[in-house]
Amino acid sequence: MSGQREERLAALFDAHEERLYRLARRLTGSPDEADDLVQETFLKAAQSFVSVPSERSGEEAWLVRVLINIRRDQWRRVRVRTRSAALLRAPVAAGASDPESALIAKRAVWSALDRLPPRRRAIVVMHELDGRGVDAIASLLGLAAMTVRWHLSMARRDLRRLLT
Amino acid sequence: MKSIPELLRDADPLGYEPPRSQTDRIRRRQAILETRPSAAPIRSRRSALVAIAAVAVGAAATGTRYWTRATDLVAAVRFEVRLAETTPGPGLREAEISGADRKIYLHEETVVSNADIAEARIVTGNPPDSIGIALTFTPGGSAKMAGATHDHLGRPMAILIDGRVVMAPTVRAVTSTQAVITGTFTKAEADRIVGGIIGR
Repeated sequence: MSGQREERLAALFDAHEERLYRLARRLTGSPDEADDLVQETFLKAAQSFVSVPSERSGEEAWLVRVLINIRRDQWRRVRVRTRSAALLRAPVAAGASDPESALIAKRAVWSALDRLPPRRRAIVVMHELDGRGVDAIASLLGLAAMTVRWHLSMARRDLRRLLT
Repeated sequence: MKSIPELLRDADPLGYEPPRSQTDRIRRRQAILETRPSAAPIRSRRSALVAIAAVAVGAAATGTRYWTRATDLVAAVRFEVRLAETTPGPGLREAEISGADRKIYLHEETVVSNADIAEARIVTGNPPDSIGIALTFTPGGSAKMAGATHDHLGRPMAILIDGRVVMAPTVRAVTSTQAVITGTFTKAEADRIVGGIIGR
């Protein structure tokens, strides 16, 4: 039994780790944080093994939802401690023409993304950076398509307000 | 004027960060495969608290204390592991090892700390009439320990409790998932450490 479990865990890791890291990296501030987030997710899978669905699309959905939930808990704890921290603002919408301005612009965008709740941020990055459609995201997160569209609309509104 | 999608794509770290280390990936994978399953899946914070209470009652009855890292606890005991050297050098801080008449020289960076511990429990130490504290690291903590010890073989690694070096064993092999702290602990001290070391 333990050999089967190890085999299945290994297959789960090999199939999904890279994609989970890509999502985690876009939800966090550094590669180390992203690695830790992914590891916590797989730890939960290892500890709650019977809860993980057996088919591939179900596996991915389970892992993504757990990852976002873990990130949400982290985000809430950090948010309470840093409520008064100033948002790094920079006039980014016009575009940055030199390396220093480009770096400042990247940080401003990331700072703005940090303000979004993790689920909304995950929806935005999956749609805008991974190219996933609304229906695919809805299926992955167990949401209605209308809810995903609403989150996208709210995220764009918030980012526009913060970045321009 | 750039659109929001364009700004996001320009800022995407995956567009400019170097590829990840495959060695680290292999270590993380191994750490996951070595994780022991829970008796039952933990589906909610309430279930986690009930599980912890049940384990604590059962462990107290058998004379050991065993806490799982399934909820948020404030760490009352500060735990750190740092690389160390036997001779002074730039950037190193001198420290005495408690209960031993020797000094070591600590690196500045912390390798792992409280947040990297998944479990802590009291065990028989070395020598057998002493008390030890067995620590199991989280997967993230295991990867950090493996990375640090891999490049530090034959040199000391310092275990600090509340800022005090309690032991500084020589690294003989790559350490990842577990470590046992032995020192001149009384039972009361060991109980305090085990009870207070888990948290974020």
